[in-house]
Amino acid sequence: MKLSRRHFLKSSIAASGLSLVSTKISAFEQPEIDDYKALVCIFLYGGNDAYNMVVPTSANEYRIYHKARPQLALTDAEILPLSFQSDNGVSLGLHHSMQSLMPFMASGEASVILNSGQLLAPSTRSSIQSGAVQVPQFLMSHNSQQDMWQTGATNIQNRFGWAGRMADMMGLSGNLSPLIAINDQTRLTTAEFRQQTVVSSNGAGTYSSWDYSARLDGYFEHFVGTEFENIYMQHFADVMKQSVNENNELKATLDQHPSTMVYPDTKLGDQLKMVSRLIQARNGLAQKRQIFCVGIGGFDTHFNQKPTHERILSEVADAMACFQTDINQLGLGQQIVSTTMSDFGRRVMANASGSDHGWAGHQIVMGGAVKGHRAYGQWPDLNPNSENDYSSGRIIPTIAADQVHASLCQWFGLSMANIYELFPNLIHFDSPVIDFV
Amino acid sequence: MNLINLDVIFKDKRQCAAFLQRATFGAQHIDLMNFQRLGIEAWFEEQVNLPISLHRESFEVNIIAANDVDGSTTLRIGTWLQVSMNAPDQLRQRVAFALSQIFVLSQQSLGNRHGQLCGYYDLLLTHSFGLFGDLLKGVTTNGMMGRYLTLSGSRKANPEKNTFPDENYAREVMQLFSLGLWQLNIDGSAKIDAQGQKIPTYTQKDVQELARVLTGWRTQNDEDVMLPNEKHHDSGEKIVMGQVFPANQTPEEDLDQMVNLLLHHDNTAPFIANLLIKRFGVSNPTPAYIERVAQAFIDNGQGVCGDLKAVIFAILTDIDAINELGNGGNTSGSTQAHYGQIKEPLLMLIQQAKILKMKPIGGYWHDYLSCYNTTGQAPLYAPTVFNFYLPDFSPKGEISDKGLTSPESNLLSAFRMQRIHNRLVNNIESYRNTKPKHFSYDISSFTSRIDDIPTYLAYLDERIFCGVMPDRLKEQVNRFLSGLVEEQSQEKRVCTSLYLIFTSPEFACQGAIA
Repeated sequence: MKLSRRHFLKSSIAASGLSLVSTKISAFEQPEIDDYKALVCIFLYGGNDAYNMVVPTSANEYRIYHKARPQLALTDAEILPLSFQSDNGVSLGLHHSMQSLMPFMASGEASVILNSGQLLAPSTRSSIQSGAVQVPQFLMSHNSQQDMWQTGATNIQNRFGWAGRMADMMGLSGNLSPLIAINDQTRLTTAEFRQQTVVSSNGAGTYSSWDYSARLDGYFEHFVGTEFENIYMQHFADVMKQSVNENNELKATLDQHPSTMVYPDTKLGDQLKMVSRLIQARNGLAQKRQIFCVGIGGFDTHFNQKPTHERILSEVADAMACFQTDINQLGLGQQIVSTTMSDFGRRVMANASGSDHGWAGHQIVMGGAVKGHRAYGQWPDLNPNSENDYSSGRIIPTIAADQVHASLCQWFGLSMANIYELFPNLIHFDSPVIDFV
Repeated sequence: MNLINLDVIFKDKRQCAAFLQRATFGAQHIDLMNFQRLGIEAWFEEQVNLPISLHRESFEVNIIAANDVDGSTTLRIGTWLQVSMNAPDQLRQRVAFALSQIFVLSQQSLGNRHGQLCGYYDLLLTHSFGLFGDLLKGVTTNGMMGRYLTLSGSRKANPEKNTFPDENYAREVMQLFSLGLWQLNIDGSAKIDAQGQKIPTYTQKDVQELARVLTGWRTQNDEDVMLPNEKHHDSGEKIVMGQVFPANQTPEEDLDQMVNLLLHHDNTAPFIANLLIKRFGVSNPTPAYIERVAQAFIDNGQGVCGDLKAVIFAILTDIDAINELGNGGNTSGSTQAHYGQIKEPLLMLIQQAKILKMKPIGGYWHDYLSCYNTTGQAPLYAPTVFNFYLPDFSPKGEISDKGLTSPESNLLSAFRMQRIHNRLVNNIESYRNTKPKHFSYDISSFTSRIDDIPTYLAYLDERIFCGVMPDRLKEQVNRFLSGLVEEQSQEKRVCTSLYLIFTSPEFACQGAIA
């Protein structure tokens, strides 16, 4: 369906909220952008049992791990050994269902960040118990911790996500907002001065029956030149207008960029396939930077964990591996970094057949820019009441999620001054960033 | 207490029409007449006392009619459409749908347990005008909930295996089903400590203790309810939010104590009041509105706490609802401009279907609206326990700038707007359908009137808006019909006029009726 120029002039894209503020909303200088980069955040909703995604293979640490969760612990045969160790010299392996990531671990295009999570300051069991450091709010609560991963450890009351605020600070622009959430809005991609673009993994559709001008005109009349006193009606009219524009722009662009790669037929596969198409459409969309947020649920494995976790980890690994292969073939491997995030890690000690909400977890990072061939961070002491144990197997992070975010922001081109503005608590850490990218 | 005479208020047809919009899945002229004849009090009593239209029975009938032994998602959702649209106990159906968005469980993780899912919905229907404590107890021991939030099979700690009680339900029953995260004043605002900070309602330790309280429940073969097993119950003393659960209580005694603790907690009345008000047409109630409903929760007038009948009556007849006043937001006070809400997208569809009297072709009901694929909403089908949207979601623009909320907006991404549009169009044009498994409606009552524009407009006004059709829309439809020069079929004219109405912001929203 081709909309007439008349309709778009009438609807005035400039007034729709789609017009992107080109001036930077930043207290600090930001250099001009002359290259292309994209960041892909893969959210594992429900709280990934990270301690079964990355496992220790050194004899002593494996023994402690197995003792802590005899029912859930992976056996030797279920572990794919990695060629690198933690910063404290512990050998590591991946869950056997993540075989498809192994080539990228071997080539140095992927790595793991160990024991990261929400922290206000470096913390240990004793410093928390003595009250010397505060713990973040609402640990172990799904939605609060999801929000915290997407806003920053001290920013949970902030309506805007850290990626959204970064886009504001950098003045990112495009024909559509380069803050792109697949299937549903996310906090991460919510900005103050620009919309987020929400794209269905099925792409854009066509408004039916608009070949009849009375309908097309009638629909536009609901939001062009019509104002409502009622705030909800006015908002709905604004959403109608914005949706027509966004849908039209996306349809035109995506039609030119069909997928060139066969992805796994899974929810995450579909989403990353759409991400790849939008990356290929970057020039048409006039986007020099793109930030994507995709997600997959099912990680809240309180019950009957083993088969479920195995299935979804393989879905994650297969989709990520396919995506990396795809962008490598497009020659963009160096310019795109993907990372997993999750509400929290799960408790090391198990329930009857599953596991409960914990605190720290591990992340997988991938992309040509990732400094692979090594892991990042310390392997924690999983013994009960160790300095890494917050309470009964809920492990205290040794890397702040904000440090990981800050590293990604720095790679993306955000100035350090702005990074400290985004994550003010970074001043409490030895280094604001982790040198993985 | 409402210092208003409801009988006088509901002499006004506008008030009646607006009321029925909020209290039912869509009202027709005949419903309005009935409401006016009975008066608010008698109508409400009648609704409360009508026999409960249960979903599981209708589902079983549809299974047989469809010759589908196990049932399927489309039949379960079809049954929901059938009963929600057609049942005489409209208010109860609407309340149960609201409750299903607070006490959330979802087929998305429970899978094809359709009969039991209908059974859970029937539990909500059964308690819709009952006591909150009974509802909370029923939900807690329900087999589907036991599976969904994994309370079923949760056992006391086992030092040998190093396993612990499951904390999932213990956390969510406090965070989502009763208390919320922050301590609240009775008007729903957060309590503030001496440092100006909000105060958490409970601690992680409380979650762990409550998880111990709730150990020992498990589903049996039929999975409808969980039964207790002393052997797996932690019979030690527990302390939850300062209250001692003495040692050696049975699982039932511990459960009853939990229900009482949560029922009478200061947070529950304002927390539940706020959530329910938002499901009945008001996205931004004033603090005073929340407080009045919370008071009805605390005491129904006869000293009973948690009487949902009194709570629903308070919500629907509140002075703010009658005066159509919404929270002023940052500008404080209240204003008509902020009254109302963007309807749940599923409500837009079901109201349209009800107005057009759309029916499935063939002998049984199925999900002919493709509810979830179109709107992101379907009964007992939320993506997570946090429902289809969060109650405090605030979309970008004037609404968030003013510090207001519009939960339903969370669903309105560009692709869903397009799908909703196409579904509305599809429904309008469904009068032509003839195939089994499709659906249709009778267009003749529209076409027979369309050649006389004033008569037709009056008919649309009564049929779709109970006589309170907004002037702008009336004018737009009139202009379309009057301006036609080319010869068009009656059907085409009807469909386009319906299109203009059903795609309008006025139809999509509940607002003050100017």
